[in-house]
Amino acid sequence: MTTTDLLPLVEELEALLGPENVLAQHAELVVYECDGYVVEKNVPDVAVFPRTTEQVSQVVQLCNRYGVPFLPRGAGTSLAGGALAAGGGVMIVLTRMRDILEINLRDRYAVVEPGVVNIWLTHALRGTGFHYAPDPSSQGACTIGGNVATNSGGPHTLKYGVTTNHVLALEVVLPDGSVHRLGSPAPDTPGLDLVGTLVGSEGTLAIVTKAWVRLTRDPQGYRTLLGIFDSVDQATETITQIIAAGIVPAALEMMDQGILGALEEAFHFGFPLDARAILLIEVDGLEAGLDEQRDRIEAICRRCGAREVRQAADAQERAALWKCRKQAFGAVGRLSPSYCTQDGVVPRSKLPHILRRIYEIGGKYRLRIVNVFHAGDGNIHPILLFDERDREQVRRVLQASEEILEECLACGGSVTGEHGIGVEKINFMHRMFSPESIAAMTRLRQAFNPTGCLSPHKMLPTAGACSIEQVHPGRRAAL
Amino acid sequence: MEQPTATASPPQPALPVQIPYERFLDCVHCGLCTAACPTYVELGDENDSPRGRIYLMRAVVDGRISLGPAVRRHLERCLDCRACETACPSGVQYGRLIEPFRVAMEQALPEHERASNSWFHRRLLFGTFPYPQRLRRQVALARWLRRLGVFGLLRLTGLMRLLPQEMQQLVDMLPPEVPRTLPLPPEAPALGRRRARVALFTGCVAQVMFPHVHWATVRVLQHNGCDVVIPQNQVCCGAIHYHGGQSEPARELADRNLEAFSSLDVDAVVVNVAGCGSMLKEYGHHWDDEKQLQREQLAAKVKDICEFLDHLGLEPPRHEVRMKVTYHDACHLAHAQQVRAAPRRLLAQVPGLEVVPLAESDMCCGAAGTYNLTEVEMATRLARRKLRNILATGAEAVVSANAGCTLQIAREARRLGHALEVLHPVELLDRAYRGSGGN
Amino acid sequence: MTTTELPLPIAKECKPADAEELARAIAQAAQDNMPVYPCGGGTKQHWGLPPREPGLLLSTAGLNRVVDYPWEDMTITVQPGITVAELQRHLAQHGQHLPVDVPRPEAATLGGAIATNSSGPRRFGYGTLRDYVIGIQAADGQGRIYQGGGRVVKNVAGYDFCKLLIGSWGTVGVVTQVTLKVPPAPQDRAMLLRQLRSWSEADEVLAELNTHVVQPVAVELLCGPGWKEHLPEGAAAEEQVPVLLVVLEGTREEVPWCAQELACQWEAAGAALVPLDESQQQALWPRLVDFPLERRGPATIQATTLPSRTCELLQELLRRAPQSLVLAHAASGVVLAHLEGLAEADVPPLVLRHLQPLAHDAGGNVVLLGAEPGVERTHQLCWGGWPPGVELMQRVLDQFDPARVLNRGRYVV
Repeated sequence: MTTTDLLPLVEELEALLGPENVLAQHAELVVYECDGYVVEKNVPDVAVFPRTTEQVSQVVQLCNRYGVPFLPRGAGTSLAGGALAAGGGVMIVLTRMRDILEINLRDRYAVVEPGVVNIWLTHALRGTGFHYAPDPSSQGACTIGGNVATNSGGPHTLKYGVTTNHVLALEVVLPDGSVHRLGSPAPDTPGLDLVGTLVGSEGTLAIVTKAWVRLTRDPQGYRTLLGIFDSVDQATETITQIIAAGIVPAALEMMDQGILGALEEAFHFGFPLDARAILLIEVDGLEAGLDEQRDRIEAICRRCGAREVRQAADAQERAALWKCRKQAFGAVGRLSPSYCTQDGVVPRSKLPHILRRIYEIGGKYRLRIVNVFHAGDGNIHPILLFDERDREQVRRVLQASEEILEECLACGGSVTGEHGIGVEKINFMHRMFSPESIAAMTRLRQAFNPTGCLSPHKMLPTAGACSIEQVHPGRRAAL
Repeated sequence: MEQPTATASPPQPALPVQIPYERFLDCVHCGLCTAACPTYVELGDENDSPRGRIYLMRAVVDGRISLGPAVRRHLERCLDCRACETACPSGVQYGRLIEPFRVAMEQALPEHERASNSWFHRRLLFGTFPYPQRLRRQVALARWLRRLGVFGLLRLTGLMRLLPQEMQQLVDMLPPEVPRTLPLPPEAPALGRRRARVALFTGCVAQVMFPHVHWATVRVLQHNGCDVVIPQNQVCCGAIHYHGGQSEPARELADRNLEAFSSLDVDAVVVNVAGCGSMLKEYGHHWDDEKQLQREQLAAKVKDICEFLDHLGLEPPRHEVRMKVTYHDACHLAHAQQVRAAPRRLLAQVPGLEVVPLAESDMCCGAAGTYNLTEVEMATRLARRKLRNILATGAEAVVSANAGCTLQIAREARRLGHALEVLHPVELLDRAYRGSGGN
Repeated sequence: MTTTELPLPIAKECKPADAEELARAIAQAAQDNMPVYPCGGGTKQHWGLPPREPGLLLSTAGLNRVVDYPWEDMTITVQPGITVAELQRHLAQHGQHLPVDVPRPEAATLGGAIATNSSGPRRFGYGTLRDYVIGIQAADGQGRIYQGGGRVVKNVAGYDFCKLLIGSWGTVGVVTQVTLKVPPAPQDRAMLLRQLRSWSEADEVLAELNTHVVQPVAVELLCGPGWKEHLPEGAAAEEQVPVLLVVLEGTREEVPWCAQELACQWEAAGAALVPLDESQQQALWPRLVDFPLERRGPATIQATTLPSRTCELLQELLRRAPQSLVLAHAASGVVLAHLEGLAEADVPPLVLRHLQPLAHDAGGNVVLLGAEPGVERTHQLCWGGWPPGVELMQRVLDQFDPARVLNRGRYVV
């Protein structure tokens, strides 16, 4: 199919949505060729901005009529190419559906459109005593629709759970254009948990047009600690000990020396630059129990060899600390022209091992690797620094990434804790799951997305497009 | 649909833009800036986001796309509010990408197509605004016409639409009344113990529209033990020209200011308009010539009034100002100069003053220099949004440290019929020193 | 429970020793077009639509091992036939627990609890099984074994089969292995009993608790004379006066503080607190957990609604069936009731005409749990009608069990 064949579709889309809600010029589509994952790129043929569920449904029906693939996109902050138009076609950008439709504190839920930015909801709840718990590091930009698609995590998911634990009901448009409301803010809807099945399905089963999300009570207080260590082993051992002691902190994050330098440059927080690792540990809850929990954690830190344990003095300092942590990935831009953030998971007791292996692998491939991650969940994020203009380096980055993820699997872990499979990790699915399990996933996709027109080439190695393989030859990066 | 690049019309002449390519590469495409961008939040199109605009500029430079009208629109629509720089963890210098790019974009156009060549830009924006005398005359004329009801008549008869859109905006923006004041003296001595000697930058628009704020600034500085020098040969900072793609006239203005301020023996050059302040602070890197070092030295001395007073340590005001106010972060103060806490700390020291938090306080109000004259639709959307947030706080006044924001917010409040006072922080400090506080 | 006591038409029995054997048995049954009735402890086999065709009783009793318990990782991998009580005993050795209250835990198996999405009073504080199952293996209706999730607490690789299987009644697959994340057990527990005087007081106190600094793990409303034996003197759970029970759990510092805080506040407001001593608490607790499986009256129902509308639903129920014995997980919007004093014939009209419309209006539902044989188990009565997304569920089952052998005719779809 050539672009001219799409002209009638574009015309119909414009008639349906108004020309101001359709982009079809190549020059205006270039920005949609990738998301936060820049290794692979492909320019969609059309981008549309529906404003209602009905319009999403009509767009989908049109795409079906023309046999053109389509996919949803939120803020485009995926780190795995989740919002990449791998099969070309129509990109359904949901950023003009961004209203908070209802906030019901008594029944602890809010109803939002998919384009609502994660933090807007928490801002809207300010002063009510409630918040929306999933807090991915990109929460200032990413949308709740995207969070639902990727089952986003975040630092505080250690205690409060990930997105799927906070989604009560969904309104979705299926790949055939039909609209369904699934689940309910009331508990235990009889039947299959389709809501739970759709959360984290990376936009391959349905397009979310509305979400009922759970609201969580604000804790009465926080204690935010900074444990400073002279060795990475001491820090990882501390993590293992805290978890083994039966303490579930609200968040437990680790940053190594490499990342501290970048953070200090970006935020001037006052991190000791000679420390080899820092743990950011937060406990929250009732004031009555907090000091005791803090003391226990502090004791464990010291027993494991922490040279210093600091406590955030006030809400402002706490906010500053979290800002540093949440913007850590971006701050890496200060260390090198390009970087690749990996996302793997190991059982928590394997953290000391995997960190040692990561540094070894870095040495082996002559790459600088820095680490900042959700330690309490065993969710590692090694960041491999390189220069994308050096193809030889790029090759080494890919090899090293692969070796790290293999090591995660060997530890009994996963190749993705929160970024998703997207296009980035399709090749790992076979290593994580048996052919029978992949077949079962393919069958599940078949039930929702029989033509494969929705989000082709995503998540499953078996997921091809509908009638066409790819609209463009694709502008794959030089990798 | 645009044709693929291969068959596109004859290649565009290369854009005469000199941006070090590394500055594009600073952006790692994480997207954390997007929701901080007012135009993206309003429009939801990545082309209207900082990440998207950087991508567009880079694609133009790379020759992947041509600088057609659509791409141009997205770049023009940028407010240059720099909220993205605050949000960016990678330290991308967005202002240093978009500003030179827009200058080049303007210059690449044939003469007659340049916006800067329109009657409005030539006569009013570049020809009148930067010159207080001319501006004062025009404003007086406009006020007089308004008093005679001419604009009302024009509007009624639909003739108003015959005026350029920018003019209509400008007429709307004029505050109904500006307090009459005496001209500022060349020097004002410190009261009490002498703590510093400063020069006051008075600017162009502010001199005409906000002479009372200048007076309040002088008095507050005096109260804080500062000798205030007000050089009479200073001129407009040049921001209007520079941001309008007129680099050369801006340089000339900068050099005249260099003359006016460089020889003074002062601890700081104090500015009470955030837009001028950030331009002055950037003097050091706009032009690469033999005066660069001198400009850098001047730039290093420039301080916003809030920043300066906060650093000096405020003499505690004694009188109560019984008001409920909220604080709006001017982009050119919060994002361009990274001054956020200082004005809040100053306000917190005013007895009796209740300062309530403002939602989206650091989102642009749509004024953005002359943006509200040229990009009316977006500017109005943002003004509405700002006003909605302000009204939701229940405050009787909003405090803003930038003349442009003050005009914009006040105009929107007038339009929608709300009695909202828009004050500069020094006005409140002044009331607290003088004991004329409260409504 | 012996197989002869099970309310199932059994043609064949099979008690596999491993997942492969179990899968083969299903594959064979599919070939023979024979229904398969998976069975754990058999505690809830009388729920749902009654099976009509004789089928294969597939017992998971032989799959009851702990596969791996790396307690420092706070995860455990087990086979589905392990009883919930046995699982809890393993976890208790390391101070951990599965904070889901499954009725009759000595008999009920984890697999059965997952199939029926079992929960209890503490779901308000801790959530339900979907918050704890992180990895799963199952055999589908063709005997094909598949897995989802993994053994780590955070994992977004592939589709979430854990969610698809929980509450599916085994229709998308019979679970053969489960990995759970298991939190540390609380150090302390306290219960507070408050005699309410009216429904408006109940509504007020529930709303107050919703935003209270003290967040209980369970907020229960008890109504009906049947509670008498387990409540202390002075607590009347009769007719129009519910009793409020609040369960607090947490650290040794938190729990006494919370109990004190609530008690002081309530007393200051003139509320009637009823002291509940240690032994009374211990006697009451299992009754709360086992409540759904008690056999009383002609039928037992579970109604769900928005938390704010729990009292409204309770009132409607008690107006029409005043002798009902009721336990409501009020903060979660779940109402369990044994419809005592009602004639069998009056059960369907009560549920269909009065309760279901009220529940549906709030996004909830009313389903039948146990019932006397005289109550006809229709689809509408058992499941409250077709759930939203029913066609989609059918399409999923078409993929996973095209012959519909797994629990044929018993599930909502």
